[in-house]
Amino acid sequence: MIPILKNWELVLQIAVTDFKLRYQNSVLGFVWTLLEPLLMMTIMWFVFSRVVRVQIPNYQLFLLLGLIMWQFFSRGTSQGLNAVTRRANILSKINIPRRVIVFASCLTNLISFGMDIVVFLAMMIVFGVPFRLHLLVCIPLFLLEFFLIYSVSLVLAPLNLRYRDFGNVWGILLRAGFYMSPILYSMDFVPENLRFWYLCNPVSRLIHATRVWIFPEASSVDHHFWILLVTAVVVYAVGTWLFKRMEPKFGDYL
Amino acid sequence: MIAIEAKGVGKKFVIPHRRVRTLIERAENILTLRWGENEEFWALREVSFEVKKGEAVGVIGRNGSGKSTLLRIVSGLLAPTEGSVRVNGRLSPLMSLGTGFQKELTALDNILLYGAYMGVPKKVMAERVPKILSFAELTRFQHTKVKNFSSGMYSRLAFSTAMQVSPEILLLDEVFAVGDTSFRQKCIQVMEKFKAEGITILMVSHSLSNIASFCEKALFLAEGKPRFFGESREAVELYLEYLDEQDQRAKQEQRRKKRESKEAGQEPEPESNRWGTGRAAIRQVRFLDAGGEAKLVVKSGERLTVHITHQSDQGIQRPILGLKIFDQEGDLVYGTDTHELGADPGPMQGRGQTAFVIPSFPVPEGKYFCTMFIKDLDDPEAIHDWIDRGPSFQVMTTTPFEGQVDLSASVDPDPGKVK
Repeated sequence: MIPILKNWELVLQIAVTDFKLRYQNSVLGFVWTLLEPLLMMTIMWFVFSRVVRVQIPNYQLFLLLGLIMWQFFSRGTSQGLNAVTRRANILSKINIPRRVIVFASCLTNLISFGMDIVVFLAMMIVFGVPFRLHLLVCIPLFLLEFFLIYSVSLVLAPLNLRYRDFGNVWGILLRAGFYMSPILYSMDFVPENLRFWYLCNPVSRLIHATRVWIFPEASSVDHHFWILLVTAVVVYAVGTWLFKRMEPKFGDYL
Repeated sequence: MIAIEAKGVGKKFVIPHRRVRTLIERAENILTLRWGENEEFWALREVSFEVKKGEAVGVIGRNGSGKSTLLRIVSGLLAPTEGSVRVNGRLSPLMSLGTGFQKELTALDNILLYGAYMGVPKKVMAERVPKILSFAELTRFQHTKVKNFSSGMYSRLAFSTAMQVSPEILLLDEVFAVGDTSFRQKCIQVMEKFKAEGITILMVSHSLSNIASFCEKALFLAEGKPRFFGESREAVELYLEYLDEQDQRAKQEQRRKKRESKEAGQEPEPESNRWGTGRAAIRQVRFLDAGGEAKLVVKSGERLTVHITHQSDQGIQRPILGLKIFDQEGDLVYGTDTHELGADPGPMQGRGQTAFVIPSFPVPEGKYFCTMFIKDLDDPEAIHDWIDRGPSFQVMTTTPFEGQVDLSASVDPDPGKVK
């Protein structure tokens, strides 16, 4: 974490620049960030509540929360994985701690995620769900998700630099993860003998835990929050170790 | 105090015969037992040197001699395979052509981002923006996206920005190739200023006169190994000698190959830059330096002799032998012939030699190409032999100057009053 703190200004600058760049040539600019999860929610809601007939109270909001949390993870990690390779032209000239680049990429996605959360809160008003104080508990949960994304990126970025296959493999895993996580449905829908395996996926556990807080009526399965914390710390430790080990060789592969 | 200390630095690159970028390819190689097919290549070996604080040191050598690799190792972008480099002080980015900017951002945004990369606080960098833009002569284009810049504008911006991040150690890779002459001159002024401020400079340049005049010391690399480290003028001299040797050897090799193919009964390939009646032919061209030795690198300002061996089996009564010298851009620098000089060589019969003696050739550094011809005074239409921009030689200047001609000015510190 020390190189990140030392280069805090750089981290912010890169993250903000990236955010600006993402919507450079579009008319609606960053409005797209806000529209995307809403459009997704509408489609999913139509399919799963009108066609498949899932019975969950406040299904739209329930779905929206799952979607934006998933999108945060999937975008965050797939961009974190590419963060180093994408900036090869700068990194082959300027020697800065490469972790800074990965962190900044995750931070860009945290900004987008923050916007999505604002949309979510707005939708809560639209659907007439009252704000309760315990919504605040979600903040550490979101930060934990950010930490998890950063940790996973630390593992994937050097691997992807060495073998570009990891980008493809990760894409497939993410697609599988989307259906294998309780995003479209709640944890209660998952057969009891499968729940253990489901919760091995930290993103499942994270989304589940957050929903238990916001929509206690939608799920009754225990989330064991502490396991999540341990998982994230372990991934972070592995990521830091791997990243540090491979960093001196980055120059050869850029 | 020592700013850069390199001890026995070596860098090994593994060049796979097939570049392994993906796991599948690697698996393929394992399955087909092609694991060991990688080729090892030492780009640098046993390089040791020291740069004291405030010193300017140049690195010279042919392309592929490991100059840029060395700079990348010093900057920390590449890890050495063996040996170590210690750096004392804040390093500049490695500056070379096309330093990484974001194409989609404006010049202004890029400057700020670059500053951030270099660890300069945003406020400080924002204050320097006008200076950077005016130095790069791009003030009018500050809100233009860099992708719309010409390559010259781009390099100017990169150079100006990098110059403003106040490094303690400056690493330069061929930056003198940036921009036009006047911009290059400005860059040299800035570097002089840096030097006066006590900034350490390590630079790679093909411009030997810049190295000789700007740097106190130079490291001469040949095939990744240090040949010489010491006084820059001496390094340049040694390098020139080495270049000469190499070129001579290459020429010999070429001649040998030609002879072999002739012996094997193959027709030599027709030369596209040569034509003529064939009644007389130029057999050999040599460039002699002031000492009368055949050289491929000559010093500007010294006597240059173009020694031509020609042959005419049928004989020509009143031949004209001509010489034109072109620079790299293809502009004619000088041209003359024996008739114009009023020195007709007399009848040509069999093998003979003629030389053009040029008392001094005060031109900028670079490669020069010679066009040579044999014409006939009795038959103005006939061209017996014409070699178009064939033989070439390299000119090296010892005192740098601007412009097309070295007028070798000197300074009189006490000229006295004008009468």
